[in-house]
Amino acid sequence: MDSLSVPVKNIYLPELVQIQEIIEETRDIKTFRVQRPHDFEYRPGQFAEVFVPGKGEAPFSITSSPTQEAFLEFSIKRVGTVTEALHRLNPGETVGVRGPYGNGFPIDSLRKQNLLFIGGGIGLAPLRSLINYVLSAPYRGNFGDIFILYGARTPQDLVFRWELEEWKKREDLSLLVTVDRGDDSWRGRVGLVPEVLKELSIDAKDFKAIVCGPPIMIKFTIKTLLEMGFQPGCIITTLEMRMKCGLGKCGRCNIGPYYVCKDGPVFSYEELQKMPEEY
Amino acid sequence: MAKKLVTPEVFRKKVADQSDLFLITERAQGVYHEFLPQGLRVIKTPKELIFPEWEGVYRFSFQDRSWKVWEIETGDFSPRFLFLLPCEARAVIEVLDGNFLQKDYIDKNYWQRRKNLHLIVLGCYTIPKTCFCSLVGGNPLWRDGRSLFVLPFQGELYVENDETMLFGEGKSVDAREEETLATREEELKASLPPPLPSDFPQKLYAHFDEGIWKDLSWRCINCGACTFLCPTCYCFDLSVEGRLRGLTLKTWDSCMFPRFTLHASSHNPRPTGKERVRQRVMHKFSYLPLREGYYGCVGCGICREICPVNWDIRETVERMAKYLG
Ligand SMILES: Cc1cc2nc3c(=O)[nH]c(=O)nc-3n(C[C@H](O)[C@H](O)[C@H](O)COP(=O)(O)OP(=O)(O)OC[C@H]3O[C@@H](n4cnc5c(N)ncnc54)[C@H](O)[C@@H]3O)c2cc1C
Ligand code: SF4
Ligand code: SF4
Ligand code: FES
Repeated sequence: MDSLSVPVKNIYLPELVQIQEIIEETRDIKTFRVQRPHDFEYRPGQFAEVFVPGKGEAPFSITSSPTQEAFLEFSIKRVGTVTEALHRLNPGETVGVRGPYGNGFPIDSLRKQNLLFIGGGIGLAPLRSLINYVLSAPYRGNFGDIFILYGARTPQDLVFRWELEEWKKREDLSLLVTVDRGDDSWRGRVGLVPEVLKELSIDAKDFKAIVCGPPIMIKFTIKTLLEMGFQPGCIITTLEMRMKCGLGKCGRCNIGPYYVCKDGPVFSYEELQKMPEEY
Repeated sequence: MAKKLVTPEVFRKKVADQSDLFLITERAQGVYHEFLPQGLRVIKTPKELIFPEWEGVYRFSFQDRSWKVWEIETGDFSPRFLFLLPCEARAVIEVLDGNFLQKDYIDKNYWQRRKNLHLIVLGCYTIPKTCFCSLVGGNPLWRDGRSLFVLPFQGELYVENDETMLFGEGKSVDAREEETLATREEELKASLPPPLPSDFPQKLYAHFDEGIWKDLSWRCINCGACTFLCPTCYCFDLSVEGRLRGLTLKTWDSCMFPRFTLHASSHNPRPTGKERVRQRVMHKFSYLPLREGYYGCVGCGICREICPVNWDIRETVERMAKYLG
């Protein structure tokens, strides 16, 4: 006991920060830009626990890039108690943040590689952190070609539309947006992500794929990627489990011997194949 | 290592004179009552002292138009001594300390309680049918070599590591006595069932998908009683009490409850008793050993004793061991 130094910090205590801006993305998704807490150094793909005083706490991917130093962003879908409470807040109000937690994307192993990002619905949120990281001026040169395939159910369900416009203008990346069902004003692609993916002329040998979205979309996308010749180790995805502590202590989020909050949430498909199917 | 012999009279009197300092677990009381004075505070499981059933971890309140949060300090506890059985001591030292004091994130409240709680391991000499410590690498005289240790020996009490003379000066142990003790310990260990094979955790993991889990789990009604009284079970929940002022609570939780893993999307990776019982067995006998190198079960048998349907973890593990060959 005595050999351990005194822990100065209560690991469960959040830091209170102000909401700077709220962007309404879709009917049920809002992006919250909050002040960055003190000493909050994170990597793309990590997450944080967001606390709404009097309501509760829930884990969310950090969707901003660490290269954006003044703030953190979370894109949050309204599904239950905490997320509903968040959606009722206004700029200037307060939330708690603790983190960052989890492993994040394996940036070192992505260096010099061509990157294929595949996002479905709000699954673009964790990818966006990495996308903006690799697109930022100091790091763009470290990565090869960038291809982004993004899909949502309808044009109204697309998130980060304001940023998709920015990406579209850039010459150092290709962006393809697709919807399951179009509407009168939609001029873009219509089709499910895995089907659109099949038609891309992408040489699996030269790319690493990073996938995030609803479980069913991930499943079919991975299947397609394998058919296209991607090696399981070259497919990277992020998982969701019910979480409380985010620190590997409360014993809740494991898949086999792995804690998704600590060893994940980012895993390669090669790693997933070795895990029991209990997620 | 300081070793001595103390007479039962002196031992009992020393404890009685300083009775405020001591606590004892229900099970240790059951074995050692004849050596101890009456009226010591009895607890059900050691974890309730260091990882209480519920505790506030921080408070929040809305004052002067802004929110504040501040941690709830448990403060420093005055040193106390807990009499407990070897299996219970192992649960604290290996499993609970292993989780809450893991270097990357130390649980402050746990640490503040734990650092002033001294364990007095009482060697076990009446071994109930329901326990199986030797299967999981323990034995009835297990101790960590640093904690106080007590064992009845030739009409006296043999005591190790009593640096502060809690039980008086006593008389030193001579070479012959030491040899007798060592021989008895060896004989006792040799008479116990052997530990599970070292590849048991690995093999168990490889049999995750086996149909046998259904068969092993059907009787359990998922009440969670076993996990609350198990000395090693440490899973917890974090929840909020109060609206404009209140606190965030850390409470015992159980992998036996369906809501433990329920996603916000209403998807549940462990929807039935089969998955939940498998998780409890796997966490203790496969995941923890694979990850941390120790079993998450100390073989105390408490879960079997209190289970309303007599679900027997020992039987399960022995059956699995046989099944895995
Ligand atoms: C690593 C990680 C990253 C994540 N990133 C994001 C992200 O970027 N964006 C995002 O939007 N989400 C993200 N999530 C998911 C997010 O954490 C959950 O949506 C959130 O925890 C929901 O919390 P809630 O309190 O709003 O819902 P809860 O209230 O906990 O649950 C809501 C659902 O459960 C049901 N429910 C509630 N109470 C009960 C009850 N008593 N009995 C039965 N059913 C009940 C409700 O009907 C509802 O459908 C992430 C999750 C993880 C693990
Ligand atoms: S025997 Fe039962 S109560 Fe005792 S440590 Fe093992 S699982 Fe827990
Ligand atoms: S094993 Fe027994 S005590 Fe444990 S949850 Fe099942 S029925 Fe309840
Ligand atoms: S969320 Fe607590 S262990 Fe992962």
